[in-house]
Amino acid sequence: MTSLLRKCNTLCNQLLKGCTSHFTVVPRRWLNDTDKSTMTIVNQDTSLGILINSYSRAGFRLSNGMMAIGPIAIFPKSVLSWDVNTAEDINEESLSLFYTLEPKIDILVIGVGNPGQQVSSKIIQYMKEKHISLEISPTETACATYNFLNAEGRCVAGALIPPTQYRISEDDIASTKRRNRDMMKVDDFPIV
Amino acid sequence: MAASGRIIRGISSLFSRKCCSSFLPSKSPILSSNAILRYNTTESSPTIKKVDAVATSSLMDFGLYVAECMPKYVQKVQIVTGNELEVLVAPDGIVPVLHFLKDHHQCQFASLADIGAMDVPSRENRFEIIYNLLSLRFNSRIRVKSYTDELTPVDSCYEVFKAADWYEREIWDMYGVFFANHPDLRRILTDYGFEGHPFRKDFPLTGYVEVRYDDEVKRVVVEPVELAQEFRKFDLSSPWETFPNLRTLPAGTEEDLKATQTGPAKQ
Repeated sequence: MTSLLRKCNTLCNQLLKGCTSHFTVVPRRWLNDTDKSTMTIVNQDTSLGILINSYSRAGFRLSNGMMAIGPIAIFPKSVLSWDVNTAEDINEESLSLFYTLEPKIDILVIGVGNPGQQVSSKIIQYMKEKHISLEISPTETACATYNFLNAEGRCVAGALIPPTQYRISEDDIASTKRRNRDMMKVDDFPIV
Repeated sequence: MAASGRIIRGISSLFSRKCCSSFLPSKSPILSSNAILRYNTTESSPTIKKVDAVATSSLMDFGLYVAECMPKYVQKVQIVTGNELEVLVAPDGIVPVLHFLKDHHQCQFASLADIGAMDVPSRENRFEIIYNLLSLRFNSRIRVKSYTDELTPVDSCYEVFKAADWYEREIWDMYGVFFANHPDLRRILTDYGFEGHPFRKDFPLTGYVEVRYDDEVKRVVVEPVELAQEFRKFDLSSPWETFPNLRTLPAGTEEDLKATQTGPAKQ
């Protein structure tokens, strides 16, 4: 009995030795954490709040997995649908939510859709009186601006209208196909 | 006797090499190549740039050639500070002239070194847009200048020089000059909610707002600027003349090169 146990013991020891020997080898240059290169993707960090992953003609995909259709009003912790047609239709009422919030937001990032759209100067003046800084730009750049202003930790809200004209890259087409499980189909007019 | 005199002269010259040699009135050609006796050379003012008349005249010829090729837009050609060629164009002609300077075989100014702007509030068209081009092929530079006021947009030269992208964004941010057909005209240097165009002459040095960390709300707040001390302007001129040698320098003049065919114009 004891000899059997002893044989099992030695067998186990050998097995364990075999296993652990693979894990004890660590390259010397990686012993220090500062030597490693690290990469963090901001959109995957959930502590920063809701960020925008992508946009399209239809709406926006957010970093918490949600998809919002149509124009949105986006805050660090919540997102709402926004009742606005085009950038010219923005009036005091459509912006009323942003200046009634507590704590007061520092910057309101307005994405006007396509690059040529204008926001009426009366509205800009009105928001200046309410002491909210505006950052008006096409939606393509407004999404990125909102993302990294949020990542920096500033009090920022976004009011974004989906663009109808935007640049599409091969990468965008491929990721859309992957999402739709459609990579094998050859499409003449890919919908992105 | 003569030999000893020569030896004495040799020794005295040795001494003068060590001591301050600017007191020696005579110019000795043997010692003029010596680095220590620079003061004794035949040059009158080695620190002032010499104007090469041949280079300047060929530069002026090239400037006139550009004016002949683009007569609709080029308003003036001038040479400033001795050897820098400037072409003044109407704002409608910025892109055609830049296209010409970039693509024409005799010009080949393929490198955009810089785009700058200048604000002169007293003028009607207060902003001057300045394009600096470099030709690697011919090793020469040229400056294209144009003008605009606060409201008139200028055509972007992004299609000619891709490098113009950020330069024009900077001019938009700092001066407020709008560039039409620019791919992405937005702020580049100022903060996100910043209002105003800082490089304009009527924008104050201290700005309009200041930022500080407010402990009550636990974040950075933006407030109107408050100077604890009034703005002091120091007058640093002294009662004594600092550059007596430059007492009689003439002011810069503009000379018409084509009419006189003499030296270059000074600006």
